[in-house]
Amino acid sequence: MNSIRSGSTNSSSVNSLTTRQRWSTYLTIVLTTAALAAGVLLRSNVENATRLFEDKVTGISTRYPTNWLLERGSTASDFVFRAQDSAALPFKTTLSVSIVPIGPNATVYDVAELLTLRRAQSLASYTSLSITPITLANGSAATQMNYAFAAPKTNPVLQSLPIVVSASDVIVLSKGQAIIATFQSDAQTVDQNRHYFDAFLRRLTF
Amino acid sequence: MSNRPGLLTPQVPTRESPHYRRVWRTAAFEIALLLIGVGLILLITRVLPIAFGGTQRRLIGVALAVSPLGLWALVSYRAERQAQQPRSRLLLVIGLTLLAANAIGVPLVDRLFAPDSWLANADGLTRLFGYTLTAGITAEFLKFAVIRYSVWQDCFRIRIDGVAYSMAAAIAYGAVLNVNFALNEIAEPAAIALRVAGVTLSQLAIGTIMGYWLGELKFSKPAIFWLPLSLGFAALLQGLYTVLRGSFVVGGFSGSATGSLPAIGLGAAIGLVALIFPIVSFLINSANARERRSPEFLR
Repeated sequence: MNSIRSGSTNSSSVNSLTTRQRWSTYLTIVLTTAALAAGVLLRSNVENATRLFEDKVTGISTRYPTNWLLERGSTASDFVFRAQDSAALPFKTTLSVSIVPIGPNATVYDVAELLTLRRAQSLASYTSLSITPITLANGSAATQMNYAFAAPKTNPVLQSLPIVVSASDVIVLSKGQAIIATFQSDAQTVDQNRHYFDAFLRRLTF
Repeated sequence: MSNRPGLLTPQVPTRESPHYRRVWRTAAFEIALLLIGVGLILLITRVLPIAFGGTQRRLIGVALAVSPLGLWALVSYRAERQAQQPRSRLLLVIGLTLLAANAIGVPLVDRLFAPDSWLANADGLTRLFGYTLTAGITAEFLKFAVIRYSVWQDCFRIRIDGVAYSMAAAIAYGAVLNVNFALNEIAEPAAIALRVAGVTLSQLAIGTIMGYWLGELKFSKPAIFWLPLSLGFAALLQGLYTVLRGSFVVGGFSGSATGSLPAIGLGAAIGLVALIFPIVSFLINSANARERRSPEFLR
């Protein structure tokens, strides 16, 4: 059916565009631009979508990324809750909150020292990097402790280099207890993942 | 005797004109050869389980990835050269699409949008829109832009030219996607063959939608929203195919085993071809028939 020289009677056989052809092309370009912008927005929405975690016993609530796996603490665990990005390989980016009871005269540095001692025993190649005072979004004074360690291999059969994990603890003293918000990420992607921790801290209430 | 002049009845051909290459026939022949090739590879790898090294797999992967382009050159381009009125600048469309896909499409989708990284755990609808608004729209727009700004103005002579040039662009775009996959992933030849065939067929099938509307834009007077709408629809189909293919990677769970069903992913691409080719062919034939009946044509 294609022997019909369809263009022979059409104005487009002349080398100029009709208004209809010109505007169709313009609209196509506009639609593409709008669709790509919508794609960026969708990505932002998906990446920043969060769910509420609330623990009525401890009074702690915060929001964590929607697609992360949530684990509530039990009597045997040392955390109130933990959320992990199961898609992050080889080390699952982790956000967690734990509570340590403290004495009336304890300072934040006592808690930091306790955490350092515990982690030096349990984490391979534990290295404390810095301790700095910070202020949380609700105005509370807190202390941030940055450290690194080598994560154990997820698959002992595979021969691979150890994973260097960059981590941060933010310690807040409140009502006779230390609330410790922890962030752990593969050191190679820590800058890309840091925003999760920042958002997590902004929404942390206790 | 009447002195009224006798009217010449316009010739009404019932098949694609022999003056031009028969687009649907050569496309069907290419697809058949591609599927036979995939079948042979599946058979050989099953009968002779050869273990290839990483470099060998890459080389085989790249060879498989460019094979649809070779088939197009052997079947369609050769037939085009033998036609009485060959379509010009087909190689230009191939070259420009290869460049656009590799310089813009792949970096934009894989590095800037990286939909695989944030859609992996998303629900089905989000995945559909995510892939549509990133990979789908990018692929369809780049193919459209190459044809629109290289051959549409000067080289379109009949409606089906839109489909012919779109198929060339689709083959080239698919080849770039496949080569990138073959270079970045170390997979078995059978798996690469299935993926190459699936990507090529889906690009071919979906590409004809924009091809049809580019032809309409040239030879008819469609409302101005049809071309952008068809781009959006084609991008949506790209997104749908990507989601379906992803869901077939792990295709079945049962108490005894889990199964990977990439062959069903290829089946989805064959389904797209079987659905879209006849529809686009029917639309082109209908438009040609309408045009033949129009007073402007009979005058």
